[in-house]
Amino acid sequence: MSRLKGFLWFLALRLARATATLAICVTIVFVVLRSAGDPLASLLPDDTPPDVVEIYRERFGLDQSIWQQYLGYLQSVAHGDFGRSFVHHRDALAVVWERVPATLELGGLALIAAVLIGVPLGVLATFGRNTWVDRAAMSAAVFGYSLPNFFLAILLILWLSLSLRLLPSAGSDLPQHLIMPIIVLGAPAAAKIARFTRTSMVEVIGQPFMRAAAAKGVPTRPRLIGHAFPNAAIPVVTFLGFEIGAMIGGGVVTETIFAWPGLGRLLVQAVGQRDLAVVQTIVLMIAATMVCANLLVDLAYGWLDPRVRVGLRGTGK
Amino acid sequence: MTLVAIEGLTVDFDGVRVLHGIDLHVGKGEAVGLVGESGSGKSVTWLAALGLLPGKARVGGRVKLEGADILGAPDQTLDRIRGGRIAMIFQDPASALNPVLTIRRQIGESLALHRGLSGAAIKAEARRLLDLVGIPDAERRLSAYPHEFSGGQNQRIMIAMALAGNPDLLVADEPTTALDATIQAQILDLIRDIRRETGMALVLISHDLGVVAQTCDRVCVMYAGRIVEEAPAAVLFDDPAHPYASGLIGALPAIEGPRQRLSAIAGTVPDPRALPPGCSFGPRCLHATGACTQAPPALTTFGDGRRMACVLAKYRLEPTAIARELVDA
Repeated sequence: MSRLKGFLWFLALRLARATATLAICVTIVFVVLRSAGDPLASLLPDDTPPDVVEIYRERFGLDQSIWQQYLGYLQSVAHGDFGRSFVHHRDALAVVWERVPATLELGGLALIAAVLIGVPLGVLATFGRNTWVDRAAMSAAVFGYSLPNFFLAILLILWLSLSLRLLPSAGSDLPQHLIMPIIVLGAPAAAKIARFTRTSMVEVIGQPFMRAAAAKGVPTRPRLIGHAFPNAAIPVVTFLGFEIGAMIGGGVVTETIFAWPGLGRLLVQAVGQRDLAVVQTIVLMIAATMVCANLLVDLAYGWLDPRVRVGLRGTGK
Repeated sequence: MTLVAIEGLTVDFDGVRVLHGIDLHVGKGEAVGLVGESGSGKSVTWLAALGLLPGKARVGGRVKLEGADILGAPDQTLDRIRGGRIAMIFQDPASALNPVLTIRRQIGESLALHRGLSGAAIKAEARRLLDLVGIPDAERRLSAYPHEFSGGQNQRIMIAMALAGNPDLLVADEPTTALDATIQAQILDLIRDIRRETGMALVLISHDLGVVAQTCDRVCVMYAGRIVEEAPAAVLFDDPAHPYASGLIGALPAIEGPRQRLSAIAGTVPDPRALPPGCSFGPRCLHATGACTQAPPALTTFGDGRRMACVLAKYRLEPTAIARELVDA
């Protein structure tokens, strides 16, 4: 009973915080986009007669004060209406929604690849701590995240597409089209995860219970994997939560370079065209993803860390 | 019969010697106390003997377990000795247990490693061990995590884990320091009961002389990385020979007799990087003479199983020496 109650409190609190986060995001995007320039200037040809511009201004509701526009927008969002795309002449949500699967596919695969490479690399580095294995793994990691993604993308295109002619440089029709975007999106994430895993492992290895495990005769490998890793994994999972957001946000450059038809590319196009409703919808969606990711991380935390599990239950045994 | 013999054990951290040649024997079934202030090398001695110090520590000398050299032995050999022959429990039981593994998993691991048990046998034996160390409702508590137990219970669990390997020697490193006074007594009683049942030898590392006096047959007093006095427990507390040992015992409050001011030993423990020449205790010693700064005094045997490292040892060996020196002067 108290367990369920504690959990519901936890959820309610998180939900309230999530709503506040989203409201702040919407407000900032709304204000910034409207103060950054007149959307009609980029939509309509330069020589459009002023009276025609006024007609459009009225049709899109841009003649109202920013306060009226803002309140109107909030009202329609609350009803599930995210506005109409100026460019596509359709519901903004529909335009955005079409692009979600492509982004999820790329981001999801990149994150999985990053975890599968980064975590073992970080653990491996702790096994051979302060040896060449450690140094090689960590140098690779520094390389992985200090290389700007657009630069890595261009290098890969030059090498794999132009000189070796192994992979197509842009598009989304074949499975091969995914390979380079996954590398570009996943490499910095894998590098960060590797470093983070190593740091976390090194910290755990210094804990008294690791010496106690050695004193009871647990050999090195099971000690690192069975005793240190379950502890080290907890902060790594938190970190992954942030990376989910980075995968979606970081897709902007990657998707644009490789012409991958996802949210990131749509966002770049929509900003360029001042397609306000679409930009707002995408930003809201990214913010919502971040909020959900953080919530998932908190739940995963409880599953991984028995001490937090008690916290979630409320108090007591 | 000697179970563990430590001979000339030295430890250096980054070129600084912190252990200056420890000679220590533990007989089968014997209880030996190791006392001294923090930093005197009590724990380091046993961590070094079991190869548990970090890689940067330089360890020298010999450690023999029933005659076989174990210092610097391959990990495979050491992993069987640690927990299987010599088990260790630590000061802060809550941090010595892995926070994310169940008690069953942690006790079971020792049973699997050292007794080759598996499956249901592990569960049954783990339950028996929890019963033995006095954890109520063992069946249910096996699936609990360390944070769900109190400090005293965690130390009981550490003891159960140590017993899981059927060790010949338990090294208890300040096992009661982090616990309340009443819990301390319970844990010491538990250790004594278990020793009576299993005949296991005990090394009790403590800065608490009272704890050592109640539990041990023989006591070694350590100061600045050396053993300065060794004696049967009862003898040491009645008649400490080394000025440091008598200072420590003099600093204990007396329960009987008039209330007296506690005597403290003036000064502080020297930094291992800047030890005074000769006897490390010299600068704090009330009996220090010029001879004390010449060289560190060797551990000299006198009387019944007594040793001390002090220039005063010769007067213990030959009580008339003092009279002769006075006459000569």
